[in-house]
Amino acid sequence: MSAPRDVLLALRQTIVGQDEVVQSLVLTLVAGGHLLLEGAPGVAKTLACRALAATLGGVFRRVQFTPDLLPSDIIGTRVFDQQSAAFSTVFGPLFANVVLADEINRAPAKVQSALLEGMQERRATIGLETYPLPAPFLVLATMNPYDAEGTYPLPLAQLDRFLAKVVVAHPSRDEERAIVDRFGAGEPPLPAGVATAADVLRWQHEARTVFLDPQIRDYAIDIVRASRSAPLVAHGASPRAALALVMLARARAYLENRAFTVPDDVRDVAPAVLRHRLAYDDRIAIEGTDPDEIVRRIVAAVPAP
Amino acid sequence: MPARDLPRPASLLAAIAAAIVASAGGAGAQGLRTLHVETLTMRADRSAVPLGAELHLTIHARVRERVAALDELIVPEVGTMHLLGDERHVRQGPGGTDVDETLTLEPVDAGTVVIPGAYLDAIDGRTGKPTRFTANGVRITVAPAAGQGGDTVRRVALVLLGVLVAAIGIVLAARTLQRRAPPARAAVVPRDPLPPVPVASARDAVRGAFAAYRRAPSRASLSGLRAALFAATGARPGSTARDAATATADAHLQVALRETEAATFAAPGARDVAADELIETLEVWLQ
Repeated sequence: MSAPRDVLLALRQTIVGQDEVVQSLVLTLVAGGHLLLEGAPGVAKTLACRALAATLGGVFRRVQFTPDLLPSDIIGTRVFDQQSAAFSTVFGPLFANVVLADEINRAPAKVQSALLEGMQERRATIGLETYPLPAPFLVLATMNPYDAEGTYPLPLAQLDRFLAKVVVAHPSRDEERAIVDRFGAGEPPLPAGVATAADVLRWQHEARTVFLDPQIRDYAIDIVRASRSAPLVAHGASPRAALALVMLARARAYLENRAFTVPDDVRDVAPAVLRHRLAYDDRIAIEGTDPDEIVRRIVAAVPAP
Repeated sequence: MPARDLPRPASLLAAIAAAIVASAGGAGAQGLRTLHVETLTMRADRSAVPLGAELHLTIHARVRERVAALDELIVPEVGTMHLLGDERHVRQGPGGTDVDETLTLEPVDAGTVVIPGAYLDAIDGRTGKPTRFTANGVRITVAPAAGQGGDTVRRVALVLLGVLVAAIGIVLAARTLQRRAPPARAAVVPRDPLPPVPVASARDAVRGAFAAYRRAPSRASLSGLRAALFAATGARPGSTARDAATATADAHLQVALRETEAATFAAPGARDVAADELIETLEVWLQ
């Protein structure tokens, strides 16, 4: 039986640096949510997702989102089989344990909606039949903050479906040197078979039983509520953010082999939970304020219990 | 009383600007207006002006949209100049709207005054992005008024005379006090100085809270002990255990902090075990 920490260590052997990304991948997996990764091209967003899928050994599918993508391209469709003279169902790439939606903001709203409905409901309808998606089911979506021309920004309601969002930064000089050394002669084999789908389901179940003291619960709620009255924030986080905060805090405690959450769990995961759930005032762009700085201020302003 | 005699310092202009900003801020919370700003310029009718004379600062903005008002236009701070008048004209035409705002100013100090450009915040109709449009700044040279040079000489002479009189007064007062001052040996020295007041150290505070917890273990006394431990590290109120652990290099204290978190936040059935470990750690630390 493996533990989430085994996956974490395996990912760290493949991904150079990017500790927050690696940790967020594992936490989201344990919490049973979906993760949004934002970063410039070439900062190992896709590699991190592929590496995670490889460690789990489940079915992995990658979908490159483009403006001409159709919902049936990701969900599946009914095709007519001439030999049997009957319709048969062809399942789309959504029917996988780990789905990588690359550049999710490049597809139109109807495709995004189809994916996000699957994320939320964990089932998909093809024709008249509704099929459950495999378990565990994890969607990792990437977004490129540049080249905004011709993209379809996700509305807040859809962003809210992602448990967390992580910003993939450029590596440091030392990390970049290590990347060149490690990947210069080709991509090394990804870590495989570290855990099984059954392991992941067990982690998810056990993480849900991690004890949450009422003080910690209230701390999470206070942070979410503080986001609604923060300066430069037009719309604060929804109650779903409080649920996400608690789920990720439990996952973090579980990752650290604790059966209870502490205030540090909530505070550590709060930026990843809040950053994509806030709508900012237009002045933020004019003043050049970093949205993450606003999130940090919100979290820092709420005293821990 | 003529309008120009009223005291209307630059702060009034700032107040007007603040009011406009406040009203624009209210709109900002709901989103900025989308505007195609074609022109935003600022010019003064005189680049050099003597003290006491007036000048006019004109701000011209042109937007492609037909708008009734352009509240987003923020006039600049004009430093120490007095604001004597402020007129805004809006003209709508088939190709858009022209807004001219003219400020009548009176300089009160000689020297060079740099007035920053007026600005307006809007969603740029061309790019769809929030943008601050800023006009050019204006530099104005204010010359001393005629005959002011003689006034300055007189003023400087009066100031020097005042300084001289004050210096003589200080010297005389010092001599008088020196004569009246008692000899140094007459200074009072307390025979029995008060003993130093004992100051409770952070460790003492933890010891006290720990004793209270041992006497009556409860959530309240544990909370008091946790607060004392946090304070012992120097962490500010509202910090987390990791903040506190980072603030101290004392390994025992770091362990105690970890165990306090377990005793405080673990499930009720597991708290006793954590509390026992905490007691052991603190007994060692407090020895």
